Amino acid sequence: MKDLDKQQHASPADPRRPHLLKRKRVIFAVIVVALALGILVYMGMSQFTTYYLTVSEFLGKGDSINGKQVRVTGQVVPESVNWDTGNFTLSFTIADGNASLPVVYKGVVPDAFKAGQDVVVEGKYDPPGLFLASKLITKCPSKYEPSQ
Amino acid sequence: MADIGYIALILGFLVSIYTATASFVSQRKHYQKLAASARNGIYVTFGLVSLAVAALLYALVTHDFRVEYVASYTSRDMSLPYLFSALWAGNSGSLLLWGWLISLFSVAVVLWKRASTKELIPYVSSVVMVATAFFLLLLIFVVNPFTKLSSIPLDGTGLNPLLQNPGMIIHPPTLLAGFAGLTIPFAFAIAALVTNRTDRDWLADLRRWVLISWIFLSIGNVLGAWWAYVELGWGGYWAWDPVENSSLIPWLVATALLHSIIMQRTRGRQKLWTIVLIIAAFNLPILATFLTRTGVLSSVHAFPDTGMGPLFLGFMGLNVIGSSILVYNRRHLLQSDQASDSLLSKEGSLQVSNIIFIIATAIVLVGTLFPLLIEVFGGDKANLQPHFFNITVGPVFLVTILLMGICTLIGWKRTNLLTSLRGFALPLVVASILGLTLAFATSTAVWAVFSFSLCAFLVCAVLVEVYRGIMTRSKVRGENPLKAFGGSLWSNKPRYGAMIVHLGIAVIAIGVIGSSALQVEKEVSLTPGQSATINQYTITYTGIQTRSTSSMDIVAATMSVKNGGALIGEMVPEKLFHHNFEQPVTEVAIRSTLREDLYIALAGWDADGTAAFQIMVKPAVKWIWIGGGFLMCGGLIALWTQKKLALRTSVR
Repeated sequence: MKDLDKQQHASPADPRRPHLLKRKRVIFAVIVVALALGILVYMGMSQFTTYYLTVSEFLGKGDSINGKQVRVTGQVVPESVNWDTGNFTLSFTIADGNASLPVVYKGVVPDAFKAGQDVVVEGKYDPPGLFLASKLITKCPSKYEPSQ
Repeated sequence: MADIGYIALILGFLVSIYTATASFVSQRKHYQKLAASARNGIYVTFGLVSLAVAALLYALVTHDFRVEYVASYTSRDMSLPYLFSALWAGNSGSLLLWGWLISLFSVAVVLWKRASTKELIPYVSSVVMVATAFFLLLLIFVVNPFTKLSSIPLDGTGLNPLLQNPGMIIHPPTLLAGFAGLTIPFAFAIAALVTNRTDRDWLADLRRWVLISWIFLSIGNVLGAWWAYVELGWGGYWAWDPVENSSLIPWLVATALLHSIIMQRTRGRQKLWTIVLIIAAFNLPILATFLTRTGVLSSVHAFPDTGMGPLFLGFMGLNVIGSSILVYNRRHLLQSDQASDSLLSKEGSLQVSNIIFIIATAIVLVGTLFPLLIEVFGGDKANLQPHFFNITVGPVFLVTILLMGICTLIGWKRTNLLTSLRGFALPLVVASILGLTLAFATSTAVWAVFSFSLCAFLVCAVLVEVYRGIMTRSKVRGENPLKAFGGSLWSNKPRYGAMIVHLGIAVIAIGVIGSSALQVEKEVSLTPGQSATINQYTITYTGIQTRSTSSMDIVAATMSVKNGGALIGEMVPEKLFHHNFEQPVTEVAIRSTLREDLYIALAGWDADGTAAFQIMVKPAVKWIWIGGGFLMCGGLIALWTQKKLALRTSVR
């Protein structure tokens, strides 16, 4: 930027220069901003994306999914819910009609959680067949959809 | 009554189209009678849309369950204020409110017009009427609020208990007022282009209306955050959810716009930029509504697809393409009056600030659209973790704070680095001392220390500037400092308003940083009589009680709280089981002081009385709400211009 200021001082006579200068600055700024945004998007994609899979899709991924933070969606199987107040642990099974997955979740259970509801669990897969959820998300009753 | 409402919508649509055409043609061809008729059309449209709103309110208040909207969002046991608020609880109701607000503002524009820009008003009215017509069209053909059910239910489903909170009565209307308000500056910009205005006087109108929208958006966003914190029970106030982001983005653009207008008014620069911003500001809320309410963006707020998509896209297309053609056609009007100045000046920092706001907007926008982009380009469905936004927008926010401090103190004309630094001496010193103290005397995280120092820099910069202003005035006029302060404030309300707003941002920042960096959280499970400690608090769980009212059952846990040994009171977190609603609602217990919030949520309980709690100490949360108050007050003060100020601008 200092460079450009010097240039402005150095050539006051040419009337075309200021415009060229301004345009150069604008283009430079646009490129910087675009680059920055691109980097951010890339960062977002590589570090902050959690894939969103159904139970069948998840189990279908096999070992490639071990240790990765993912979100799995399914319905809570009735009769499978067990809440241990002392340990703040909730265990249940989610299923999507074709496959089922046992889940263990430690934390505060959202109010909308119920057997038969659609939920999204976010966490990692523990190889002997258990999903350790760090987040439990229920579909918030839509503000714009009357609850049935 | 509902039929009257629907007919009112149809008539309103017809009159608004007529008014839009008549306004435009009458001003173009100078037909006086048509112009008078068009002016009346504004009032008539407002009357008709108001009639529709009144009809829906009447149906809500009288429990007319034949109307599907009433049956879906109210029940017989609801109190009057919430029956009223049900007007904007649903999709079609909130769109009706949006349309009504636009027509309300159209009347305000006509009544509040300034003599120097009155030739713009017919074109402004025309554009605003087209916008009104869009919403009415949507309501008439796609999402009719007056749809009837085939059989009348005995009682309605009731309002989601999460929405039965005072904050939710004010939050949606203020945001909608902000969105609707952006129609007016957009209309003024179009009008100015159409009439080939080259002066800067009309910018006063532009500024006024952007500021009004900005104030509404600020209140709406802060209230929304407050509601999320108090009602949703997860201890946070902002989750970067698409619906939240949709309200933040227009606020960011409106902020950029306010600063861009300053540049255009004082230096005649950034004209094209201002126009681009106002087109974006007007269309972004519409785009956001389209994305979140037509199922395009699936979030945990699941909205059913109601078929609104095509009309929304059509309207946005009309706006963007139409205004782009107009801008291209009038591009000779948009060249800067003065040459670019150095970056090291108030003007320079204003330019940079605009870039920063746009970067923040772009990040939030791209982040919000991320799931959509991934699905389109990658095939897989994926979500972006909220933490992404904190990591990216956070630093941008901090840069803004630094910039606000610099801009306050720096002079208009280009200066060199040394002179500027001398001006910043005191704030820099204060900020550094604070930073070093925090770093060495406490165990606060580095980023928090840095951020607090920046906030201190900004606060100090504003106070220094105010002090300089008072001292200069008191010397020049021989007044005592107190009188000088009052006089300075009175004669320069926009500037002081802006400074109060900047202070408000610093206050909010302190609240956000404090509650993020210094938060302490515990999940405990207690038997009756057992205690838990968090920081200096001892919380003893006494027991669980259940009680019932006519509409719900309440499970309440009593906790007695000691602060360092002294008993300070009782806190009662609850879970409410409304008869009308399947899931329980968490009522958190919050004890809020300036220093910190003590937050207790009842997570679960067993038959034997053992209960699980989530307990948090969140420092400085109250500062966020106080900062919101600053934003509102500062905005209102800045809005208050005397006639003298207006004249001064037009003479220039």
